[in-house]
Amino acid sequence: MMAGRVIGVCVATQKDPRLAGRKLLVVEPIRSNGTAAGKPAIAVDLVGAGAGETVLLAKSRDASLAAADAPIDLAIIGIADALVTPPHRPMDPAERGFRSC
Amino acid sequence: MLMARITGHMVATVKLPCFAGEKLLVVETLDQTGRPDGSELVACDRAGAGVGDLVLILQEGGSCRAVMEKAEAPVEALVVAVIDRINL
Repeated sequence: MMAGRVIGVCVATQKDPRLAGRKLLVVEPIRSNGTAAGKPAIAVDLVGAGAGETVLLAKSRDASLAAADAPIDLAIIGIADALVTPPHRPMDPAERGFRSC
Repeated sequence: MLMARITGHMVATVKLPCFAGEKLLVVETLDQTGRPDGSELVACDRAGAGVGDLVLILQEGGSCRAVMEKAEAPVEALVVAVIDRINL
């Protein structure tokens, strides 16, 4: 799963019947600091997200599983109230046995 | 499975019912030298991990559903262990 931001709406009247009644939103995967982490894509909204909201995305088989086997590969499965990333001491890989190769 | 570090958590009150009670952790995956490789994902927690922990991420839907015993949960990433040490 990954975090994303809703940046638009997609309207398609001619489509697979199993997509009927599904809201299609344009989402952009983001990192916890808000920067974009991938190309925008179209996701089916399962929880009533709106424009500009930070959302939780599921992709591939899990997306279609969440939407009763609709023909989709990206679904909005949650609306994030907050993405909390408190400051923490950066890990020193050598402390944990990682060798710098 | 992936090596990752927990950098934070996500608070989401509106979500699919199968996520009720699940802790959503924001993790950054690591490369073989233990440094972040730039990608981040959100995982459910099954190991009681906290921010800053080095963890093991199970990243396949079917296995996550089996571990969580929720046949319909669209989960793709699950924290299954807190790593103490990696010896290379």
